[in-house]
Amino acid sequence: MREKSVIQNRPITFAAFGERSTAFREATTYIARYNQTVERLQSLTPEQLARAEQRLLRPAPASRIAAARDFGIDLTLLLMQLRLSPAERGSQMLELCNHVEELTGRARR
Amino acid sequence: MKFDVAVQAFCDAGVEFVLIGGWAAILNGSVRTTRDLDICYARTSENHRRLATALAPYHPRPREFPPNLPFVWDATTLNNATVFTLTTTLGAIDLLAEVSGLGTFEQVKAVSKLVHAFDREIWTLDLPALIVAKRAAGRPRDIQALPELESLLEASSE
Repeated sequence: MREKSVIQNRPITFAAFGERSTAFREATTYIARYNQTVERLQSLTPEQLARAEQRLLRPAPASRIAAARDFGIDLTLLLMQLRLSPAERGSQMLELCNHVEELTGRARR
Repeated sequence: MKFDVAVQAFCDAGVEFVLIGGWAAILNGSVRTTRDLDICYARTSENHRRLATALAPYHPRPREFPPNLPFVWDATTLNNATVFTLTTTLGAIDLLAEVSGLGTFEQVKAVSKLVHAFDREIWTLDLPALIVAKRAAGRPRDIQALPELESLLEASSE
């Protein structure tokens, strides 16, 4: 009954429940299930990274990677990025973009 | 450019959005720099209200508008169009309700992944969807991005 009145009168937050409450257990189960079903973009596993390294450093003939190399893409740079976590890729690129913008601004002045 | 601040502002305001374009490519491993932040947003009145509130402190204006032309940034403005190419104090931000080759926000989200970046949990297009979107957009810079994205996909696929 106590839980019911909390739900009716206040927004549901984890802090509103005791850890032993049914609502808390249901919420944590739901979140765990949600996290399992949602696809996440994550760092490559060591196995995935080893496979990517093999493919990027020794591209198979007629592969997309070989075509990209012939197009002028530096495959070693891609490998460097794949070694990072997505968050690291984002923050490094943000730093680079800001540096480029600063240099462009200086050149204009 | 403070795109991390923009992403954090959207997240903290509860905006439903998916990162698309250059920054989605970067999080997936691209080394191509980009000068703007592209997002696809849900076209609901509540989301328009949140988006308008989140971006308001950064003085958004359409990039093509002369400086002396009045422009009102609010949920009604967002309701009246589906594409906004904005200049803000954080940098250039493009808001799209639909993405070429993919469709509406719901269709875009269905081909997206959750990622931890810019100190938040955000949705971003996955590599196959990015390739479809770039190919459908068909502009020279989108086509030029394809070999790199296809390499990343081939390198990281099972």
